[in-house]
Amino acid sequence: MSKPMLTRLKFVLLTLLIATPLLAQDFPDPTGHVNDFANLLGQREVQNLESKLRTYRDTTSNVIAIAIVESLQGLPREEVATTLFNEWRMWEGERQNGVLILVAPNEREMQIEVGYGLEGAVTDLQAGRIVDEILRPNFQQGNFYTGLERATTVLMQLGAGEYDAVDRATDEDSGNLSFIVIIIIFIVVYTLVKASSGGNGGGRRGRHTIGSGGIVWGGGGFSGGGSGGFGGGGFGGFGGGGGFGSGGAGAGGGW
Amino acid sequence: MPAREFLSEKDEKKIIQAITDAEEFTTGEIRVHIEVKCKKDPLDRAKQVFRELKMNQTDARNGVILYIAIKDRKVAVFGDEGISEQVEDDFWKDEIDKLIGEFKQGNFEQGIESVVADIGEKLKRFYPSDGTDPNELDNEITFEDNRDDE
Repeated sequence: MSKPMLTRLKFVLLTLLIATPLLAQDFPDPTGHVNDFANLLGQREVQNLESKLRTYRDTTSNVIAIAIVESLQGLPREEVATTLFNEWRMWEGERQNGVLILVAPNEREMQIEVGYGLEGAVTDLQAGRIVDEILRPNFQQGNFYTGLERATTVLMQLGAGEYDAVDRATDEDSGNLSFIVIIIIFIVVYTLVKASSGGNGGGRRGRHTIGSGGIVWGGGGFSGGGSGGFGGGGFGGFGGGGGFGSGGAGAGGGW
Repeated sequence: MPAREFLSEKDEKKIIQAITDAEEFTTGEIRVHIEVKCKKDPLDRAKQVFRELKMNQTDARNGVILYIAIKDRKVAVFGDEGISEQVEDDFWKDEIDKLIGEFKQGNFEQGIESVVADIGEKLKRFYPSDGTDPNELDNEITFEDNRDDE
């Protein structure tokens, strides 16, 4: 073999090595959220899942996609999942707020690939448990739709936490705000009480007013501060004798 | 109609499944209680059942009950103090409105399933777990054929 030939061969080999991750070209492109290339599900089942996942995407911008492939083409399932995830680019750019569920019925393998943007919401441990406790047992009984239906439900619920993280931060802020308002009310009331009792000539008899101010403060705390105080058990008297000591909340109505 | 016949066996299974999914990866607990009559405010009755079922004994006070009185067509949702401090103020009302909307159209199973899923979302967010926690409360749907006075 001539030397240039050898160099060329090396180059080809190298190119092949580099090109290996691009084998996704051998996998079909996505047609939607639910990509059943193995015709595993019924038409109606695909439609149900598709509309569920589309609604989820519309309301949260998170993307859950399903890939049911006819064959892993001899590759490890982790690699196929990663490759499809990277190739399909269904998730919002850099955020990668997506989850790909890969199912290879012929090899009897499955993988949940969680994008960078959702790793906080769906940990590896949780993804593993969804495989072990939902997908595998259902798949073993041939209940592919049920398994995917339930797995997507749990993933959606987990993902909701991540998406709403911004709202949550805002909630906490407003919580602090109401605390501040209570303090301000306390200061105002305290000042008023002090001013009215201070009419006696401005003597420094602050101790008494601090006492009554303290009670007002307590009242403000219970009414504005929410349920914590009532639930503590020790303050049953403040609850108005409702008997039900819990500070929970709810809503009721009729239909 | 006895309380148990409110849902078909199939619907009941679907709801139990929805509760199981909602309770996955959270320490929170959900129960659905279905009974016949409710002459008073359903929320008061829901709180009473909540206590009777000892749902106020979770560690983090994160139990939630969905209460339904089929004959008097009343519903309520009640969350313990832990979870109620976490969710937005309108959450329970929004959920009960949603449930009533579905019930009015006769979509009992879908309504319950959807509200249970929403609650599951909140529990997962505020009380996450790696999935190894025990199910603190069993019997996810309870039925009671109460006749009068309650």
